[in-house]
Amino acid sequence: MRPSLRSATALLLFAIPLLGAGARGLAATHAELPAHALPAQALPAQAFDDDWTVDPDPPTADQDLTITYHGADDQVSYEVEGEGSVDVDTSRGSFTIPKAKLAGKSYVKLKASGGEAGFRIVRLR
Amino acid sequence: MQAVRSAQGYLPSTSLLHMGASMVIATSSSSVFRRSHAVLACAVMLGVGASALAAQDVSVVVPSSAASADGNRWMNSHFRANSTRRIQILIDARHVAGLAGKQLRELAFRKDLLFLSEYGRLRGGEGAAMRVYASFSDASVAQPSVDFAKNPGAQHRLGFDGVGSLPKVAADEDRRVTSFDAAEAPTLALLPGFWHEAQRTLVLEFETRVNAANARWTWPVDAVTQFEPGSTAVIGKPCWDTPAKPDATRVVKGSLRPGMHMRVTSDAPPSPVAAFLMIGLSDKFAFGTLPLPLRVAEPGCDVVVSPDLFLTSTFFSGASTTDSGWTANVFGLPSAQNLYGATLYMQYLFLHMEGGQPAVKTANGLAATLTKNAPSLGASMVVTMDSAAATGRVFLDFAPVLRITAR
Repeated sequence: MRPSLRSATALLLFAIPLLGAGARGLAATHAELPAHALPAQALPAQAFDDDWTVDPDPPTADQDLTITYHGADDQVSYEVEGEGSVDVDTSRGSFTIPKAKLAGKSYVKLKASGGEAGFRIVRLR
Repeated sequence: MQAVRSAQGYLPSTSLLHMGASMVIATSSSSVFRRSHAVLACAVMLGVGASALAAQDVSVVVPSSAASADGNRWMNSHFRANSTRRIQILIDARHVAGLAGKQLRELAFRKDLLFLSEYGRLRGGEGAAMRVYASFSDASVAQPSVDFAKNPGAQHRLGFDGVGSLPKVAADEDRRVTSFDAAEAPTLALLPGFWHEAQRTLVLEFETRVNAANARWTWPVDAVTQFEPGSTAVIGKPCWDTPAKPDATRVVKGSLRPGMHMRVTSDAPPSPVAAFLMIGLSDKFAFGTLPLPLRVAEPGCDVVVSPDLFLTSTFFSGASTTDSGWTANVFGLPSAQNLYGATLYMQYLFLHMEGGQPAVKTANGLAATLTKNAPSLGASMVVTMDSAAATGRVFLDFAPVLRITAR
């Protein structure tokens, strides 16, 4: 690594805690992204299930899994354990993950963009 | 003020007719009494008819584009068994101009044709408790505030506080659009009525309550939205082993437009300690001076976006022992004109434990380009699941299809 980059890296890393703690103040002085763009606090929880229902319930890995999303996002995504994200159109409310994709898996992560009830982990039996 | 509006709203045409009848009486003579009497009778009948006409219900459908066509979206927030919502709907003055001089008296929602399966779970007659407030204000439909208190007018009043009965409707349909007939459309009376105010935004606010804590029924309503997904592109890759996920960091899809919220999420490296989201305006230079990418750790851990903003992030634990968990940020984008079509760059930087020592890892970067299209539907919403919350999430170009009736 070149000396100048090493210095810059050291500066950046040294600044991480300060920058993290002072993010809101930094934003307040930023012309393009004012302070109200920042979250006031951390997300409330990881797994509200209010916007998601699954069928069958409880779900198993040897059956197709039908997921109904009740929120307002036009697209959501899911991740079967160890696999990449798959985007889903929600215009009809429900979508189905075929059992072939679930074989040997223990969970599915559901993600929507809302600030609330966005995430859910569905554990497969 | 209301008395004045009453005179303007209900009486102008009938007043003229009554004046005409008075003039007939004043100018009649005995020789023409019978003929003038007949004229008087006609005039009175016309006056009564005009009065009835003026008092007749007038309805508009909002958004007007959905008046005779099914909306392109459903909304499942107003009528649910076990969830609460605070929903503010801002409606542009043009949609309700047809209600001038009248009092808004009734709201009706329409059955949706895209999300039919949920209707099959209903027995019919389920009750959905809610409160509805209404007012006219100067709030911008294109730029609603996330702060609920800033959108309504000064006279934001309760118009409905009760239980709406949900009709039993079929879970299959061959119609192209459903009706607002009360037999198939949840209908709420607004009492007292709300006088229409020209050139002002109508703000309707719904507070829904839990109706049956252990039940799962819902009654989706027809809705219209203009989805503006923008575009995203991946920059680089994570510097830890994620063979199945070259794009560990992703924007969770929603409309990418100024004034709306955006959520970014990323898988975490093993044994994470802290995460920071860097947001910048360039992927070429950090702070406008340092060339990017900037190597911050080995092997191959590069900062690829300018860290103009540096946000702490929330961790979520993994779903299993092999899942190191993930992190996410959600934030509102400013409703700034110069952000239309702009590209924002994002990247997570992680501190984690590696062989008992703290280490730094970088995820892939993201370029998120916001839509160039300004809101055009004339309807938007601010929504939260916490009915006591002071702020909500903004949805531009999104509204349930409503029939608003005035008289």
